[in-house]
Amino acid sequence: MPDHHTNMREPLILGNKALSDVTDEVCGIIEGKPTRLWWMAFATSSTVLGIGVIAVIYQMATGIGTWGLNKTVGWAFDITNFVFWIGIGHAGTLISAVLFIFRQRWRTSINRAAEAMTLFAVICAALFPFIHMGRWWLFFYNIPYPNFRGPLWINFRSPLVWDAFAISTYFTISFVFWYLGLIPDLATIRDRARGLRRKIFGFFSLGWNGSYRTWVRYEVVYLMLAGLATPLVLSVHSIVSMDFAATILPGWHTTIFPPYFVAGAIFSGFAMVLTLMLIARKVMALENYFTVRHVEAMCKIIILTGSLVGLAYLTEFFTAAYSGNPYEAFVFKNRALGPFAWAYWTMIACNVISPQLFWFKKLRTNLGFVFAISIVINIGMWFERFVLIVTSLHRDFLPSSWAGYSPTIIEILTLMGSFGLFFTAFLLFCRFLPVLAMSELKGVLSYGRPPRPKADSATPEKGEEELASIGSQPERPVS
Amino acid sequence: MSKESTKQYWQSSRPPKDGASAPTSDEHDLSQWMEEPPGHVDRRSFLKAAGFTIAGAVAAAGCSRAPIRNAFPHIIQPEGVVAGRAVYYASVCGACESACGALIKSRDGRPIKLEGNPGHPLSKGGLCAKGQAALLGLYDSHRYAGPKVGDAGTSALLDATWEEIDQSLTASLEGLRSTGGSVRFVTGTVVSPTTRAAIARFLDTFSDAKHITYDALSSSAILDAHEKTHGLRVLPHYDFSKAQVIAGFDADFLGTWIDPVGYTAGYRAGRVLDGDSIYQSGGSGHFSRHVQFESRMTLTGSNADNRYRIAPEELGLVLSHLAARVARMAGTGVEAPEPPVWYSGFEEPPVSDVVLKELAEELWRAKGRSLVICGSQDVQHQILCNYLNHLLENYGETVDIERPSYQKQGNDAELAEFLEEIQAGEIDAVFVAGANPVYDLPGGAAMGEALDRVGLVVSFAERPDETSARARNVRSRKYVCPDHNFLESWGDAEAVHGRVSLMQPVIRPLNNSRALIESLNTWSGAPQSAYDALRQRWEREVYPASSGSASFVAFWDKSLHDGYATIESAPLPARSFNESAVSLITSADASDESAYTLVLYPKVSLGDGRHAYNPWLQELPDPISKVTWDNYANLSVAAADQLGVVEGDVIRIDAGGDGDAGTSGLVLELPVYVQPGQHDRVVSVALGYGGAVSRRFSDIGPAWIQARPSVGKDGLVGANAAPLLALEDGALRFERSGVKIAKTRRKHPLACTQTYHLITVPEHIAPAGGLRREIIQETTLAAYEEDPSSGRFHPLVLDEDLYPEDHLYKGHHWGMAVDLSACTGCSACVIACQAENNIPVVGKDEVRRRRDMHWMRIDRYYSGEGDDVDVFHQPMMCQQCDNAPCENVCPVLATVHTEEGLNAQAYNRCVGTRYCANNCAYKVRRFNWFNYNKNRDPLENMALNPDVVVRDRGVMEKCSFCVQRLQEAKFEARRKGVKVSDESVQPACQQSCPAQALVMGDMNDPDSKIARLLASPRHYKVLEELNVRPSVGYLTLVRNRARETGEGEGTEHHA
Repeated sequence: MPDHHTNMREPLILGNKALSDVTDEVCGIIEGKPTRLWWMAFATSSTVLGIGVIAVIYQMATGIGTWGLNKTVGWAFDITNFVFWIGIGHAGTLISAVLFIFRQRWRTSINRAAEAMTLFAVICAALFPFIHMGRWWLFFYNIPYPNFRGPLWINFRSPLVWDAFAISTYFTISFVFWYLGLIPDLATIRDRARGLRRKIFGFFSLGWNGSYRTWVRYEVVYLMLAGLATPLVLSVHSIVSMDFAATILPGWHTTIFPPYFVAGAIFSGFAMVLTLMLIARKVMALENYFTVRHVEAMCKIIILTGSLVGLAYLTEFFTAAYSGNPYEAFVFKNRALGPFAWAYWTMIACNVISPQLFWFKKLRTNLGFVFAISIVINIGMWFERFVLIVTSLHRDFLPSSWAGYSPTIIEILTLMGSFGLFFTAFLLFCRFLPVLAMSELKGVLSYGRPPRPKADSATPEKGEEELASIGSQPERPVS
Repeated sequence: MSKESTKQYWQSSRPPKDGASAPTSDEHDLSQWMEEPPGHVDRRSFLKAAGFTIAGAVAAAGCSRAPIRNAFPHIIQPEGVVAGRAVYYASVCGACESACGALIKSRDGRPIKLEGNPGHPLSKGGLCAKGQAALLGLYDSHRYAGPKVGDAGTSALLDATWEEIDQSLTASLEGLRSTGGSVRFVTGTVVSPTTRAAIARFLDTFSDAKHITYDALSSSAILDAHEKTHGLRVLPHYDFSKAQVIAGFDADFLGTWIDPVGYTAGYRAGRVLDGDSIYQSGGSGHFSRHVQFESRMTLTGSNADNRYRIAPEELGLVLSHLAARVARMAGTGVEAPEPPVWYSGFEEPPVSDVVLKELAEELWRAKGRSLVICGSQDVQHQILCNYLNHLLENYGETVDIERPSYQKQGNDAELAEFLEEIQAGEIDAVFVAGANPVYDLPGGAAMGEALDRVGLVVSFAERPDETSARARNVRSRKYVCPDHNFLESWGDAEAVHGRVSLMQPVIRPLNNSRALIESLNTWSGAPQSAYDALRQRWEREVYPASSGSASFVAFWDKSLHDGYATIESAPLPARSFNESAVSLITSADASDESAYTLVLYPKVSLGDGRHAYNPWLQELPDPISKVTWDNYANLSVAAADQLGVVEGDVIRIDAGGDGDAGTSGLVLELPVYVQPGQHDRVVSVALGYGGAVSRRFSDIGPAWIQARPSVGKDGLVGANAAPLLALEDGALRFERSGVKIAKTRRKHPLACTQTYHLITVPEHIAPAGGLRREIIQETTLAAYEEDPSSGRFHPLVLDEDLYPEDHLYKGHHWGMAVDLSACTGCSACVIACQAENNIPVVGKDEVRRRRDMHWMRIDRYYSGEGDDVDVFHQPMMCQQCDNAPCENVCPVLATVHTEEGLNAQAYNRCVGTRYCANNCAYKVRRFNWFNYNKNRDPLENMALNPDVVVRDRGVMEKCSFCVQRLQEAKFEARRKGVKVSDESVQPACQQSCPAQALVMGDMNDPDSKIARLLASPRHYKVLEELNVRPSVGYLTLVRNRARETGEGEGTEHHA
């Protein structure tokens, strides 16, 4: 039973919107003048971005030595940030592709923003492998282009090469998927605009005419792309995890990494979507489109993935103890009790304990609390990668080479700068493109359905059912 | 030179033609056309030179002086010079008075590396870190560019010409000669007989003249003691190879004491295990036992079979106990009370009486083949040491005073006398050569002021130091007449009686300097070049004592080629032992409980500080502490706990002294280093730091926003501890009791290359069975004799591969074996590697950030609790794994496997992801975090090895097994149509190892040394369980100690 037509559940979109209301309200955001709040946010994030740019230019000109790395700890903030951002980027595909295939209609409120977030996060992520190279000006050595260097090509045995392929594939598919979904909305904006604006949107809407045939083709391509993108949800972070799993370093060399990384990535991605949408909801007055019901659904996914991550942490310890490998066992004891124990326990508190609070309905419907926890989870997931990378490296096989690590100001500014880039890009996206997928939203509007029985239950109870429920294909309202 | 060596060494083909005037000699055809003062190689002249010549000599353009008029490429190649081929000259290392034999590798007219001369009778192919680093002393743009004169009334030294100097100085000297003024010639030990003769001849022209010899690291008590006991003021020559039992008392003979390279070679030859006689022809066939008593942890102590901590004050008591015991066994000599009334007159020894009893018995059993060594500067201690050696009949066997060593000639009593004279203003002229008394003497500052009052001061210093470049120049007339660097000089050395070596120049002097001998001869009124003086003396005095050469010319040529000559010189007449000199010391000086004893010591890297200008040595990790770029106050673990200080806390060491203003020199503020194995009442501080030459390091290392300078607030590296030395009772004393220590609130983080020191992982995070990793595998001699493979750990290795072997190694397969029993940790290999492979210096801050670049490092581990520790040294370089983890992770194939089993690193291809370093189990990869070559002294570029790429920033680098040397050896073998021999494929580290602990070779060649070592039951691989299949193997560490005794609890065995 299509949940948006039933009156048994709370509607996905509140406020009893008409089709034109959706168009007006979503387009209104980008057609009007930016709000003060937007300007303040933009000023802040672009300043942070600017500082980050200066830091990056400085280190690119001076050398990687401006980071706190040493001969033992060869990666720290750089790859931590890389994996962190790639992880953030995961939620986009999951929401847009996997939830689409599983007919989770509630995704329509968040998929556009989540996909945009994915793209920006992947851009942020891609920055780090580039700037972490000692000789970034030779980055093209990583690209398998035909050349005259004889046998010197790329090394297909290196996980870093797999990484490059996985990430570029992921970025391409995500971009196409996102863009495809945008086309009907771009056409809507085109139709409402005039002058240059109309021309620009006209160009980018690729001649969309809203005909039946266009819609059919659009739906087919969208579904196929969703099918193509779904394996990427698993593959990208699996391959990123092989950067570590394919080494011989205790703490890295673990077969659990691919599923563990994927779970972690979805976990952190959902947390980041929550952070962004809860802000966007307030700033852009989207309370009716992004409701508590959406938040709750996402919190449930967070409980699931957070528990998976916690299980993975336990499994790692068990494997280390059970394997009888003293190096492996040492690394995990060192994580929990060694010099970086503070980072480890921060990670545990943020990733394992905090999401469990979402079992309580009171807490997961309290948007302020959810917002706080979503940030805590982001912090925790950053620390997860930091702990994984630094604690495994800093004390490995030969005690003579054991070293510490502490970041330099340049590294901290670079990390901040990547957030600046992310938020600046996201704010610009909100400003110039429809932040909600209008065409899809119109399909889940609850107009025409019988009014809900009042006193019965103001809030839905069967959250799990929602996840599993499969709605039939709705009629598509024409824009 | 030994016959089996295939190397040909070259002698300088043409001696300088001219006399003693300014050096315009042309030792090298290649350098004839070059001119311009050093450090002034502008781009224009460089390009000019580059355009003019096709010979590789371009790079030497910086060493030239006259404007280029005609420069042509060689149309006919001069004989013996092939552009791009290195030529080796045998010479003498001039870095210290040990005078080791050196081979100087010269490429296209410029020396680029110093190596040990394998044929040399004393150093036997070894060359220490200081010696190898001395190359940078040549290419030092801070050297005096020419002679200088300082006039009365001015404070600056002005440039002068040699003619001006000669003119005005000759006049002054004539005045002194006529008035009978007192002249003092102050030098360090002069190991060259020709120089000594020139000094003597020069001083003969004055009526009141005296040659004052002193050593900053004095051993004069040994000489004084022998004067008292044997009537000869000599330093004995110790033969460690014959000694089966060695008792060392505060003598760091493997690290810094007198002749570490020669002693290490002997020590190694005396510790031979079955089956490894391949190291050394003429190995002794025994494995000596070495017991060390010392107050601080020395390199020697770290290698000892048993080591006991004693305070410096207790040394005499321990020696006396031992002497009394041995005397009783000998049944002669000093009246020693019978046990059990034994203790009646004696204070109890600080070490267990059982230890001394056993040691005495061991020494006695090895009578005539034992050796007692004492490094104390107390003559009474040295007399006891002589007495022990006398009772043990070691004189004439392991201790030779009839053919003594001339490596320390200092006479501290004369020095004290001189200091009094100069303070009293009784001296009219002072000449200083090869010494820096203002810096390295206890009364240095006062001495400097006194020097200002001396009418004439002439310094022969190579580079500005405290003595030669004193800014205040009140009344004296002062000359700086810079001597050549030893690589630019003719000279000779007689380190041990009858063992003479020749030193030859390998490059035309870079500066307008003049040989000391030439200067002296000129001022003596008999101008003669150093070459002529040398040759004349050898013809007159050395040649007659030689045998086997038909003519002097043949003898000379052979000696020059070999670098040394074998002569028969008459032994010195020694008196029989004078027992009346001996008096037993029955008690240790009871020291104040709250006070500490300050022990000043030289470091392996800097010694007395004359090499403090040398960035390689400043950055060489101390073999024990692994600290670079600083000196510090060592405290034992217990002492640090008691004081409540940790590493890096600055403490104030107050040695008292008179409270007068300006004598704050007796106070030192230094960061603490917690040194296990030091005596609890001792604080030890290294000498050689805080010298004016270290000012140059103010901008070494990369410049960036969070960079910190390598020098302290005072602009110097470390602090000079020499003012705290004591010149007492006619001996320079290195310890001072009654020193107070106070905490300060400041911190000074030390730059360590190793910050975790134990062989065991921290107990609270140690997994079951994983407390000690089997990185060092060790055993005892007794266990080894039962089972040569004892101590070996056999991990479970499943090396069945899913994939077929992709590397077949059909030709060569290079491998290396490191004998942990032989390696002393002296770090000569570290500098050898640095010189050979153009490894940059990174500066203190970068080392502090753990970014040192040494390809070869020596890991040092402790086992045991608190201060009773065993020490292990483990050279660690790229293991050239066959299953290399670094290779498969590089995204751009910058590190690949060669057909000969090397992990080749293609610098040009490297993009710097550092993935390989992360995946390296041995952490031997080094990353260029910055462009470390940027702020190298431009003249130092001359020392770069043209066969090795200088790495840019952002590039990973690592040990290559000296692949350039391998290639050269292979080409050479192919050219000659012979098999590649073991001798020809020595990497730099192996070449100069005084202990011959490293052996590289072709594992596919069944006759090679390496193949035999790989089959040794002692052979193991570090981290074998990882199945990375390293090509470097280690041989177990064998200690000659009883299984049940020994204080190191960490010696568990895994047989």
